[in-house]
Amino acid sequence: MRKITTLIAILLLIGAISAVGLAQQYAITNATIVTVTRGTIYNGTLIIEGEKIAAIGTSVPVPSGAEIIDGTGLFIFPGMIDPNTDLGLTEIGGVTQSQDQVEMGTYNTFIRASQGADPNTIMKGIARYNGITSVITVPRTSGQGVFAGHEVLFNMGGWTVDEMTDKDPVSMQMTFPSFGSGGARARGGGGRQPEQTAAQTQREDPRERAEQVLNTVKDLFENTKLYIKAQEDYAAKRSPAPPELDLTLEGLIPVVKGEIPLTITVSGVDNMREAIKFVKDTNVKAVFAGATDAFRIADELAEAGIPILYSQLLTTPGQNDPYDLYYAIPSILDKAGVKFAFSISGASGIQNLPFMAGMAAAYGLPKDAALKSVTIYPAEMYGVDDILGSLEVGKLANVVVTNGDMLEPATKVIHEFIRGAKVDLADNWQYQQYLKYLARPIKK
Amino acid sequence: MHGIKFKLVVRMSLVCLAVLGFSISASGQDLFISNATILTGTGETIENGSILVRNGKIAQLGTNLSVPFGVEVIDAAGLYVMPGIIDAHSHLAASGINESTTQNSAMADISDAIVHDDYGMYRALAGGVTAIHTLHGSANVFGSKDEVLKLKWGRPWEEMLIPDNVEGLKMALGENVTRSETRYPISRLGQEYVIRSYFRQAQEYKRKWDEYEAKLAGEIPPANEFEQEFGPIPPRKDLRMETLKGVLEGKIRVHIHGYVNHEMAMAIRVLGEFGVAPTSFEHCLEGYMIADELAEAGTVASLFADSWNYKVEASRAIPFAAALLTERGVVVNIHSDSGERIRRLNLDAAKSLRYGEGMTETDAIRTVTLNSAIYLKLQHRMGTLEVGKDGDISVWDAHPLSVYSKCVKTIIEGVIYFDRDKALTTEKWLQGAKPTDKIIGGAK
Repeated sequence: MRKITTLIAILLLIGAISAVGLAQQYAITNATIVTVTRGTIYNGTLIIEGEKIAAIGTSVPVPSGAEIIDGTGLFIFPGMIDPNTDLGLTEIGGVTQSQDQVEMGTYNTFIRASQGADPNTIMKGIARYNGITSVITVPRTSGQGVFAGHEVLFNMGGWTVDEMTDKDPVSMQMTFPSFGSGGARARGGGGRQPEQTAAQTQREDPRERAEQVLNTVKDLFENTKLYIKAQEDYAAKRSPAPPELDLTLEGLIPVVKGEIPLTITVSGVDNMREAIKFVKDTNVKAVFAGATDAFRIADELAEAGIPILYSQLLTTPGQNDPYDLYYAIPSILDKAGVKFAFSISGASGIQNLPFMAGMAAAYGLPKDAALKSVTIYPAEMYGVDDILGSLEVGKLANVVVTNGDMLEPATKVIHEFIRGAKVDLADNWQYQQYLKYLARPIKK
Repeated sequence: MHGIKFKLVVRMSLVCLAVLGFSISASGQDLFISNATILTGTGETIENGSILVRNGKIAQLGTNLSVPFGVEVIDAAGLYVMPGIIDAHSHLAASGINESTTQNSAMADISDAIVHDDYGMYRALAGGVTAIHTLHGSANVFGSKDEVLKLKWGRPWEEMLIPDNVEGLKMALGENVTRSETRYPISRLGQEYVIRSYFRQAQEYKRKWDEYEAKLAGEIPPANEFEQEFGPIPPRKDLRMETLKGVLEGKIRVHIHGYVNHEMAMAIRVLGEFGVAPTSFEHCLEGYMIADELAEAGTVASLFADSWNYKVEASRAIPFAAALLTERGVVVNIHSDSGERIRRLNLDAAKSLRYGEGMTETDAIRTVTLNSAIYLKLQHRMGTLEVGKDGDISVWDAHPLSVYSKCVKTIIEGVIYFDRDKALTTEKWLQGAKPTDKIIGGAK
């Protein structure tokens, strides 16, 4: 009888709690809080309520129901963002069957990275373990493809694609046609790419083809505007019928409306100049990826207000280049006023993201810019700085608690929260292997 | 008479001095480094310490040392000094690395393909590297003999060699070997057979030579009248077998490219049948699964810090391996196998502190210094800063395990081969400095 009463009481209590909808609260106390955008707070407390950061400060009261995490001697950072990755679309680099990043076709505006991505990719736990809480997963073009499709902003939590999705689409991936000089088309990751025939390459003048491609793209943009207008007219009952279904144009709607940036993979000075012209002509928001040699036209990029994704830090300079060229490029971009974010296109190397930023700081980039380039800058570039990129009240609680500077290789992540949920850092296949073989009985 | 003799002695002494002086400038110099934080690699850190290098060897180490007359001084106030980094697995300075037409190219020697002015060596110097182990590739089961080079950039390659270096043989297992598909073996089964059959032949070869030499020494009587009259007939020389005979006699190190646990365990067993233990497994991605077997065999785990998942056999690597293997008593080195990673091995070493427990700072530093020297069996002259060892030193502007550090000087046997003050940096290049051999060289 008493057992039943107790059980009823417990059930009532659970019911009461869920009825009130008490959001889970955490208080991380006594920590050094590196907000990124609002300075650093010493001996501070950060309160997480539900999915968001509820309070930050030195004299913040700890709510009565909050789980307290003693942050003495620890540091709190916003989670890092890799804005250009194949995470979820490529599992094992050398295994064709595990690669879904590349689709055939030229103007694949209708492709959605989110729909091919694996929410159980092994890389997720590794990204989290290293303090990376968000990524932008990117489809890529094949052959002479121009549009690869919609990129998606994923958080590294959740069980399903829906739970991982913070913004979809967050960008459109475009490979800029090569105007000939200026080197190879930049491309990250591996993937299947249909080979073009020798006849194809010989027949076509690259500049002529590039101009044709851009004219087609501009036509697509114009048609998309008409498509939007036709949809609006129909919705407002100004026209009797909707426009004829066109998924290619529908894919471009958020780009044309200026809701998402176009991530343009482009390399070499000449091609980038053409791309700047294209961006001005079409009035789209743009981010340049690949962007080798961006430092040579840093002023032009700064003037055009085009940010870049920098993924060349771990490149060996050529024989006549300064020995530290790729380490020092971020400082050149920063001085010129070009906004940039670090990215590692292959997810199996994602753990190196913070170290790229740190190394750039060793070679002249101010430390705060280094930190911003893996947090708030990518958030700003992709229009999600209202929810991500810094520790501010009201933003998503993507919070990383470490025992040191987040950009240092010897630092460990101690606690982590994604959308306010406490992350199980041990949920990392590599770490589980470590524990398993550490526990192997010592051979006699 | 007496006068003439005296003059002769004086002249001869002068000639001797001149010869001596020349040999000093070619092989080792004097240098005094003062006021540094010295991370010796022995576990000891000396604050405000000094190092005196005499004739290329560390002569004194400690605090309150006085500068001998005429010795060049580097004031290292605020700087950190550690042993020169030794990359245990590199392919720099080799014009070809795979003689893959045969399953056994043990007759070949990477020393025959050395390119003394591969500028990758200078790039490596700029990352604090003073010596590299340059190896054959992994295309066949038996690769070639190796070479160990000090990165004396600008000097003839003969001067880069280490006088008391023992040779090593590269062997390989797994996917890279079977990739050929047209050359036996195409599976790990065949790989075992190739190893066993060649070592059986080598045993036979060695037996014949031992017998021949015993007859020469009169330890065994001649076999017949012919031998009695003309002496024993030497067996036919076989250059492949000569190398394997050296392995059987313990005169040649054995470095086996291995990824998965079972192929490495197989190699330990099969080589064990011939009384040979592998000196190291190269890359050793699943070595953590057979830690005790490695420890028992005394085999060094020569690891990537965190490269993984680029192919199937790399899909079970963990960055925790360095910590786990160190804890289980295995000597661990971290190598680059790359002209890019070789430039930041200090940070790859630092990662061993991030992943797992138990590693000390000294352990981390040793993964790229002393442990590489042990692997090469050159720990008597390299790998730590101790009196009597070679004056191979790297100087850093911050703690070398910090992402914010950069190498400012690299010294080999008392000679500065990289000096950031003299090198072509991006900063100077932007101000109009041009690459010249002298600047690229950085050598005196």
